[in-house]
Amino acid sequence: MSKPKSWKNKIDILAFKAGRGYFGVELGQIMRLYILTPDKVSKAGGNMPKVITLLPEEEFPLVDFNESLGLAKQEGKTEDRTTVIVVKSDDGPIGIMVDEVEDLYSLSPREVYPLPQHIRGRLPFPYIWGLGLIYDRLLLLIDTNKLPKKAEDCRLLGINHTQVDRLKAVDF
Amino acid sequence: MSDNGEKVFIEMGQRQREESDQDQTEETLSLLTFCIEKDWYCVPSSQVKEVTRIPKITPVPGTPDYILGVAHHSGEILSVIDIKPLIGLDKTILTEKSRLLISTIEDEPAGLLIEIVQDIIEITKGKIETYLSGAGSEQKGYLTGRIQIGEVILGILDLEKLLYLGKKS
Repeated sequence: MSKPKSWKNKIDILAFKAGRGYFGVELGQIMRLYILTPDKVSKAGGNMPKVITLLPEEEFPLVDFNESLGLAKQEGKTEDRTTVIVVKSDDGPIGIMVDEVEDLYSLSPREVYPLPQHIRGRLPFPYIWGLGLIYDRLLLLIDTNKLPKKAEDCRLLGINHTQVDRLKAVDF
Repeated sequence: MSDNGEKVFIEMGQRQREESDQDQTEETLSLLTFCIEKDWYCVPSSQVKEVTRIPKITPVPGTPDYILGVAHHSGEILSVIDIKPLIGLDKTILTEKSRLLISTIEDEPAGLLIEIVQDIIEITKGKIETYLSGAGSEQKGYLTGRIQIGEVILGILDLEKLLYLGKKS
C-alpha cells in the first residue's frame, strides 16, 4: 500500500521536484533510486518512445514526471539531477522519472492533510492521497497504486505520452 | 491602483454614503469590492472569511487551469481558484497587489484570487439589478446582479456558483 491507512508515529517521506511541482512518496514504497545521466537515455527513431537503459533484466512501466504532469519544466536548473524512483505498487514496480530528489522528511499525523474535495473531485485519477506540510510548503503525497500507467491515462493528466512506456532493461 | 481608479472610488464612497443616509429604513447589504483587470466586482462580506496576502501555492497537476493549487494558511488547507479564466479572461499574473479572498461558503475553505481589494461598502438591496441566469455573456453566468454607484458598475459575483463549478464542472 502506498497510503498508510492509519499511523500514530511519524511517516518518512522522500520529497522530489518535477517542474514547478513538489511531490512526496512514502519511504517504505521506494525500492531504489537511479540517477540518470545522458548516456543512459536514448531516443529511438520515428514515433518510438524514449528508451532508458538501466540495470539488466529489469522491466517496469515508467512515468515521466519530468514534464511534470502538464507543468512547465524548470529549464536548465535540475537537468543533471534527473532521477528514476522505483516504487512498489499492487501491479509491480513502477519507475517515476523526476527532475530532482530533494530531501527526506518525517511527518507527524498533524502535518498531513487530506486533499480538499474541490481538488480531489477535479483530478482524473486519485493519484494524490494527501498533503504533507514542510514548513510553509505543501508536498503532494502520491499514491503509487493510482499512478497513470497507460498512455491514455497520461494524456488525461497532461503528460507527454511518448515518455511513458514499458521500460526496457538494457545493459550499460 | 491608478489615480483615476482612486478618484472613481472616492466618488463611489461619497455617493454611497449619501444614498445610505437617504435610505436608512431599507435593508442594506455589505459588499467587499475589488478589481479584476479593469472591471469592478463585489461579493457579500458575509461570504468572506478573510482577505490575505498570497501564501505559497503548490500546483496540483491534472486540475483545470482555474485551479492554481493548494495552500496552507492559518492551519487550514485552501484550494486556490483563479476567477479570471472562469469569467473568460486570461489567467491572473500574481503581483504585489494580488490577494486571496477566503470564502466561508462551503465547509472547506477556498481562496479566490483577486487583484486589488478596494473597500467594503453598504448598499440598499433595492439598488441591485438582478441578472437572469444563463443570459448574456460568460461573465454573467457567475454574477447574481450588478449595482451602479455613480459612473461605476459593480458586478456581484456568485461565489457559490464559482465554487460549485470549481468542484463539479
